[in-house]
Amino acid sequence: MISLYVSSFKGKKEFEIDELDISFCRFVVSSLLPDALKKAADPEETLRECNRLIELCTNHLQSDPNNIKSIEYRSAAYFRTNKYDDAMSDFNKIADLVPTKPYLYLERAKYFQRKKKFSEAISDYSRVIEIEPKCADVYLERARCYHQKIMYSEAISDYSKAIELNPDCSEIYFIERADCYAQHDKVDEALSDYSRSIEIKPSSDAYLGRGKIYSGNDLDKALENFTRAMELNRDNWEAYFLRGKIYEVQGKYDLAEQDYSESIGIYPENGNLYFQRADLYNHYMDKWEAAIEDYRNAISHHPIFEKTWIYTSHDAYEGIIEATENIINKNNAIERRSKELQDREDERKRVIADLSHSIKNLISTVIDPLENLRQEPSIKPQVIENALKGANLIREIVNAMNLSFKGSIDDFRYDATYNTDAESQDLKSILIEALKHSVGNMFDGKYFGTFMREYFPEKFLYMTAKEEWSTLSQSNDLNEFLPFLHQYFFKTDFVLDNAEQLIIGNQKGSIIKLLILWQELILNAVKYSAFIDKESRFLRVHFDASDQFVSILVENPFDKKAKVKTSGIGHIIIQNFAQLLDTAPTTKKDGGIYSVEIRFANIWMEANA
Amino acid sequence: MKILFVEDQLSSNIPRVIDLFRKYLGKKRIQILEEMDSDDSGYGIHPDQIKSIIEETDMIDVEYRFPDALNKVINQYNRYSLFIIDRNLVEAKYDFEEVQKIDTGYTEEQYVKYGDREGDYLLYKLALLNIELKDKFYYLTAHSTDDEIRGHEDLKGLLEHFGDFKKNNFIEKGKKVDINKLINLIENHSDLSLQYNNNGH
Repeated sequence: MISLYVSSFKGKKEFEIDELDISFCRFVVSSLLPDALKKAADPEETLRECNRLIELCTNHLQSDPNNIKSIEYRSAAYFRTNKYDDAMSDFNKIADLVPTKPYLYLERAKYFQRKKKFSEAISDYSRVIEIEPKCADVYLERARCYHQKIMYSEAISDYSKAIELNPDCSEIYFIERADCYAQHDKVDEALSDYSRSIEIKPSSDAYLGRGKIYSGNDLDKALENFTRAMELNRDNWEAYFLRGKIYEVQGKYDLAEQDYSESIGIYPENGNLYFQRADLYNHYMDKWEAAIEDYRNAISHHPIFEKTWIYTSHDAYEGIIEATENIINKNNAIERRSKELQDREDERKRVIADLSHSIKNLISTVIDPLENLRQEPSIKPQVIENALKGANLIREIVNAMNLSFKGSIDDFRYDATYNTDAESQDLKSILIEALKHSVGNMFDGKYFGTFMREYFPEKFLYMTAKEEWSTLSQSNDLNEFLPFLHQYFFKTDFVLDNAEQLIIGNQKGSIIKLLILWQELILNAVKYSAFIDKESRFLRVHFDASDQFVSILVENPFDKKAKVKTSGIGHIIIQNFAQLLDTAPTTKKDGGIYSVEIRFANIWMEANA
Repeated sequence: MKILFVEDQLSSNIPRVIDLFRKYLGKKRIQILEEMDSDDSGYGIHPDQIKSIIEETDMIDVEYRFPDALNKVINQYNRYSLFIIDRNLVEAKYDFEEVQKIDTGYTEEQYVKYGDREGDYLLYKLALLNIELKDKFYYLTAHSTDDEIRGHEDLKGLLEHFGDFKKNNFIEKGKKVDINKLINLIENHSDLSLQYNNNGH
């Protein structure tokens, strides 16, 4: 490019070179030499040389107002110092007198380029090229102008011409052409140019560009290139930013946050960076307060934000709203969770209170007889018997409560799978056992007297039934009990056939758990049927098994008017065992009939599957 | 003056009855009650039989059903020097209508609210009568005095009205210290002792 300037005094003898020429040379060198040496020009030095040249030319023109050389040199210096009107005034003065020097077009083109008037710049560069078609640097500058105007084909053509004219060109040519290829979706060509550029001289920009290309299809290579770009230039905010985006895509949110923060540290005026980090906080890291702060920063830096990003401040406001909603939802969730914990704690306290209440009630039935016995001269076996009965009841309650908190449906699944040992039982047998237990309790006048007396108002009737029951209860054949139940207790409606097909083991305690659960269900039904007149009493136990579910339904009539105990631990035991089966009891009170259904997954079908 | 003793599960609490009222029952009745408790038929003793034996003393009135206890509280409260009340009286069957016949102000809401803690309603009725209950009313409960008591919010006003009621007037079943305290009160109560002596003991 220097040749375009020196042509005006090239070939002159030493004595023909005046102070204007020397000053002009210094002016040219001050800007072009650093370019040639790939160094940044010293703007102060350039300005100094420009002003010196302008002063000299002006002095000359005072004595010789038509001195063309002074006008040309001063015009160039004016262009360089962005004094366009002064430059053009000089430029026009000589336009009709002599052919315009190429360097004046060049200086004007550069002026236009600096002022981002790319069309005008392209026009002037084209005039220079017409005059001097072999100057690689002019093609390069025109390529840059085309590039800015998103005229990729033209830009690529000029970059290519510049490279052709200057085969030893710097890596910059390849990087810029690669950028152009990349934006023109010519990925292979872009990759090739970036790589060529790196061969010539590794640079942060080349790695950054190559990283961007790889971002589309090879994240590991992209990461590698961005990292290298940072190593070569610790201030390359874009490399941090783009590596952060990859980490975000990979779900490495902490690393992404770190890189976004680095990029913001380098370039804090860039609203986009805040926006990206805000989205990360908002959508992936649940750091909504931080997200809101970043969205606000993005908005406050919106000049950059709006010019260079597809998102707008409107998006940032939406982000703030979303983050705020997330905070509200989070607080609500915390509140809900806290309430759940509180409810659970309350429930636990209630269970413990009810359990301790039941036990203490029963403990007194053990302690009191023994205390009294201490004062007696002789041992009375029945007193000891009563105390033992109370102690056994306590054991049963504690055992039931304890088991109702242990394990999960997986234990039932296990026992439904491993169900061939001697301990295993079919469900019908367990149901019959539960029924026998419940009916048997109605012969305990001490603890179930309230209900027992409804079934047996007369002691004689009771004694007769009790004797029969002592024989019948040895059997496990339901058909043997039915006439007895009809005679003394209630009508029955049992559908239990399917239950016979399902066998369960007891290695995980499933038999005892099901027994306790069904005892509780059936005992309640037997107890509260007692308050109904004999003709209307019934007990319905329906067992059903489909491919998906197993259900047991227990129904009984009840006295709608009578107050029923609501404290106590029976209902807790039922609920807990149902929970172990991953279900909940469904209770209904309809038309004087109380029903409880427990429906749970058919774990036997699952085991077979 | 007498004791009103309210317990819904008399049949299974004969030993406690003996323990509490040993002084007034006397040896003969204690023997009968012990025989009742030793009944090995399994049929158990009807609460009315137990009630009848205890009431022979003319020192203690016994009720095992909430409506009957309420009737005594409303209509004969001034006959009692001591009220010993089991707080939960739901084991002996009753219904809303029979309670309302005794206490016309009794509401469905109270029927639900005081379910399983009917003793609180008895206390509430006595409090409305403006009787000094601090040294007269004792709860029998399975809860420890350290426990949060059921329905505490509802009962709070009443408890505050009577001072440190929870600490002094809740007798924990099965806790020897509490039971002994109550026995001491029963056996050494001046009005009751006077009555006991007047009865010719």
